[in-house]
Amino acid sequence: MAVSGGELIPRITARCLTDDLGLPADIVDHTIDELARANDVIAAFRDRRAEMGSPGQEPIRSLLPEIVAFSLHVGRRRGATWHHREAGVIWLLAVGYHREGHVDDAYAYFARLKAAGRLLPDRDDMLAFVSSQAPTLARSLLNDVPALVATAREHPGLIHSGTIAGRIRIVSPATRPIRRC
Amino acid sequence: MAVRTKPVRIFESDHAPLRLLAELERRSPQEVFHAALAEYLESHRDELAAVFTETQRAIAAGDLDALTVQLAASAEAQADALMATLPESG
Repeated sequence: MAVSGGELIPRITARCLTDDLGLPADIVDHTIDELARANDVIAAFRDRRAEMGSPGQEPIRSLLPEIVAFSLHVGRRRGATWHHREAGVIWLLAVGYHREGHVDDAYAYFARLKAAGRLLPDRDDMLAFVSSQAPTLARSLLNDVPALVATAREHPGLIHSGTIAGRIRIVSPATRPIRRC
Repeated sequence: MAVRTKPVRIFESDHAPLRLLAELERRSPQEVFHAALAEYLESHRDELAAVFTETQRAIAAGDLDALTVQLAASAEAQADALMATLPESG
């Protein structure tokens, strides 16, 4: 699945939502705007990562080199965000308080979660994400596919490129007319 | 003529058998995979045709519910495929 720049799909792991943000797990599929109203870290995550289409600027050193996640600053709190390129998703993985040199420092906490295999999204997170995309993708297919077909019919003999669901690119290998034998 | 390739992730347990098959058949792993894919498409022709037909019908009819059901049916497999792309950690 190719992803074409622009906005990233924001998702929060269930562990982060419940353990770090103290929110109920069953709201994980609420819209990002609804979640942002419940928590200011999520609001910052939406504004500075998802809507900007930016994975982040400041890599979290304690997670390198295996995981290239970025630090999200919201007051004294720090979030760990990670761009899952293959899914077109920006994940909020964990949130903690920054206390320099303290055992409970956010960055040390992130490293502990990583070591315990609890930082990245688990299969339930992934299944929830995929399932949440079905209605969106279906709606987009109904709009995008007929439009692409109409364009192709208007210009027969040409290979066209387009985007389905705002992020799946259909890339043509050539733009010259197809030679018919 | 050089044939272009792209990487694909396979299950770790399939790697050794794939290499062994390639050596036995004196083909490259890419050629074995290519042949296996062709056989899969042939043996699943009817199921794939049914899915394509149903999806085409749903798009033509603007049937959002049917299309959503079609897409949701593969959610487990899609989730597994995405899990395989996570970096190693821990």
